[in-house]
Amino acid sequence: MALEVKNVKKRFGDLNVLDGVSFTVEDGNFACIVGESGCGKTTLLKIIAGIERADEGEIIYNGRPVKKEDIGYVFQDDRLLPWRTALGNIQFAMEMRGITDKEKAKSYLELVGLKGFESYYPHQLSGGMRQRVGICRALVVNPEILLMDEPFASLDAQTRNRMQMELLKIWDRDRKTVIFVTHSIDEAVFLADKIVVLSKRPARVIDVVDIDIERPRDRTDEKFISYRRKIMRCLSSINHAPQT
Amino acid sequence: MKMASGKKIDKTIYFRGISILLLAALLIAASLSGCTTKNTVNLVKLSPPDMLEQIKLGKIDAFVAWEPFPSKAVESGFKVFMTSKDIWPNHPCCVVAYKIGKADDKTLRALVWAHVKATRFIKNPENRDKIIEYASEFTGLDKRTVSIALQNIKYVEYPDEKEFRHYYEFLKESKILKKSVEELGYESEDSFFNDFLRKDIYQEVIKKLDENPNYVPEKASSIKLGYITGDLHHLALYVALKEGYLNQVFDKVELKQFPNGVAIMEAFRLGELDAAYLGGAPATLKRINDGIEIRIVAGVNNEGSAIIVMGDVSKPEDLAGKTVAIPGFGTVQDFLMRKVLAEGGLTVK
Amino acid sequence: MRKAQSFFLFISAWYLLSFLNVLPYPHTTAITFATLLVEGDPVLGKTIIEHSISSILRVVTGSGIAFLISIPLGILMWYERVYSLFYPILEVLRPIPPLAWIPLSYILFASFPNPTVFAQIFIVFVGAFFPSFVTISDYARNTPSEYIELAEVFGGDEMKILRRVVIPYSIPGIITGIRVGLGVGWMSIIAAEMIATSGSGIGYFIMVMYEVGGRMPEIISGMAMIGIIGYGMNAILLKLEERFPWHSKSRT
Ligand SMILES: Nc1ncnc2c1ncn2[C@@H]1O[C@H](COP(=O)(O)OP(=O)(O)OP(=O)(O)O)[C@@H](O)[C@H]1O
Ligand SMILES: [Mg+2]
Repeated sequence: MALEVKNVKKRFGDLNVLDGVSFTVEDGNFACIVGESGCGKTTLLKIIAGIERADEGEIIYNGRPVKKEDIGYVFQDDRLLPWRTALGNIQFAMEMRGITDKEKAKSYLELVGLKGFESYYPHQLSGGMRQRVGICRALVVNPEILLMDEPFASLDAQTRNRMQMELLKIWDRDRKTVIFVTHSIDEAVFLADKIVVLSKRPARVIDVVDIDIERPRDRTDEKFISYRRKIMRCLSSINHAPQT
Repeated sequence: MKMASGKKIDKTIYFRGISILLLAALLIAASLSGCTTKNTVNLVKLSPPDMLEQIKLGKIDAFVAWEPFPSKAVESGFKVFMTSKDIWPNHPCCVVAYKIGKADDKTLRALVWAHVKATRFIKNPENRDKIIEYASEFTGLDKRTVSIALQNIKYVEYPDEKEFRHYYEFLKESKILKKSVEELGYESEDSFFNDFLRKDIYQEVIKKLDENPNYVPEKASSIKLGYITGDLHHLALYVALKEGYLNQVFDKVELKQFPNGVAIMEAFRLGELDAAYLGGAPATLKRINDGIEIRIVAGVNNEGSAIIVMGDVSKPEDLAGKTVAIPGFGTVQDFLMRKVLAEGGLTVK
Repeated sequence: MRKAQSFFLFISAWYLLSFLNVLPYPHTTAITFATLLVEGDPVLGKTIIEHSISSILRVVTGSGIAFLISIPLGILMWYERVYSLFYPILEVLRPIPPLAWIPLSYILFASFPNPTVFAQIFIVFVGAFFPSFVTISDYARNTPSEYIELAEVFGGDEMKILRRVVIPYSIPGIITGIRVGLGVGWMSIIAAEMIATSGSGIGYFIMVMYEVGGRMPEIISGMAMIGIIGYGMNAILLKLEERFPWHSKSRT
């Protein structure tokens, strides 16, 4: 039981973005993808979600092609609909799947700590709150796979750390398969069971690192620091390597 | 805005949208259903060609207009309810007027002479066939219609001052006049009318003609002359042109057509015309209300209008609750219609 | 206080023109205007309010019908198929000003029970339809692709995207469309009323006052009323538009 990304290739015209990306995420695992800006992380995530077509390769989930219903998606920007309240934005995802369950939507908002903010519009919420609504929206449809595209990139360090803890707490409850894109190595090491390191564009997998540290993880821990150093080396090596 | 109140914008907007549409539907209904009441008449202003169209469609029940429109309506099967002669015998209608300062006595003498010659030509029974021919050419109507219409028009050389003042009283009473003659700088109504209805040129011309039927005044250089397109009342102008009277006394005649008398008065105001054939109504109204300085030097016709009705009207009372059309507020025809309505004890809504 | 200054400038210029005998004095006009609000003019016997109501009714009816069509059609232009079908036709009809439709509409509706009213409503319809349609379709077609992607990632189909994304996103566009449409409709009705008789209406009032003569204060009062109503309609809808946080002010 796993999500398999098999030899995915993608070009935008002359721009070669993904050049045969392959990796596997075991069911219930938390995987992080790191890679520098513009290397094709978002593109890869969209291909997995089925809203962008790959030129080549396939996404297999439990032995069959992945389906829309398997996926919950958290966008890089918060992407909330400005004409809908926090609750309305959660319900939007449900409506797209033909579900109407207001109580469920409310309970999920509570889960991400937004009780009492149901009727707030996006412009009345803080950045962190908006991201939480976005995560909540992805969770409420009960996906098997949660795709998250740098959800905390725009937050300040403190909020970001808190959000990471909260995310792990939620993930721990029902152990969905998570693919989490980030370019913060610290964040990746803190969250992931497995880190997929992508090269510069055109992206290829240059390393897959399993993080073998007990949770909750301590950032000052020896092991933590050494994993960080390892990933950092791995990323900087490609920066100095000659372009192909 | 305070969205925090928890209002759902999208929902409220939908409701608002729906209620606006409902309101619109209601208003369509309201605006299309005009209501009528007893003993009142709905008076509308229409151009005479529109009157013909609308009475055919049953949209109006009666109208008052000048010839040839009543005769055209008769052609289409409507009936003459009253001619203007029945309502107000010898009432003034069209006149020849000039802009003060734009035409000297020599020019006026020439103009009045041509006009009198043409009018006498029209009134001469020997010219009947030729007149019908001219009238048909001038108005673009068939000979049968114009010959009926011609019977209802009384071509004159000078309007009756008493009747003119009767019309003036109507304008004053119905508060259509905005100014008094005193405000225009006249001592009294008498002195105003002495000035406005300038008779000396006409009297001089006919005196000369009486003495010598072959009298031709001294030739004037040029004149800019206005008239209303295809108005049978202005036939004398066409005759004066066709019979060469105008060319006999002017080096150059520049003719300008206008859709109505108001437009002619505006042209007078702008100094685009020296003289014109036009209704006595716009001449008087705009002379007093707008202070456009003109004088009347000759009459064109008296009478020549009629009220046309749908089949079921035989007395003024029958017009109760109906819609009747007039060619303009403060016109002689407006006055004629109001006289008839008053006779039937009806008021205008 | 800029407003006060500009008002003062306007009134001074007006007084100057009055001294030169070009216009009636502002205070005379104001008195006439106030009188006309409560008392009918002796010629037509209706107050300026009654005339305004007649005109407004026609505008609301004509533009109401226009919006009934332009709103759904404008939204549907989001579909490429609908767009490519209607766009060429509408692009040809759009540049024809509503006033150019006046003669044709008076002929077209000649056989209707109430031709003048129908024709006038039609002219307002034409006037209101195109600007509202263009605004609304422009808005719908510019629905951000991010929102459509969002709907797609959660499995929404075209119908759901139209109902839950395109329509709500376009609501401020609809209001702008209504505002612009009403504005043009309002100008059209005044012109239409001046050309054919309707028995009431601000345009008709001004025209009759002109024909009878000597009524410059009445004519200016009518014009002022047109301005006040036009301004009022615009202001109310502008207020409404401002309530939408995603509404970009750059759109007209
Ligand atoms: N629809 C598209 N059309 C053309 N080029 C595209 C398109 N989407 C992405 N690209 C290009 O593909 C490359 C990868 O983009 P992508 O958004 O996947 O990068 P990323 O790794 O997510 O970057 P970041 O970390 O900054 O978010 C970029 O160079 C981008 O310009
Ligand atoms: Mg990205």
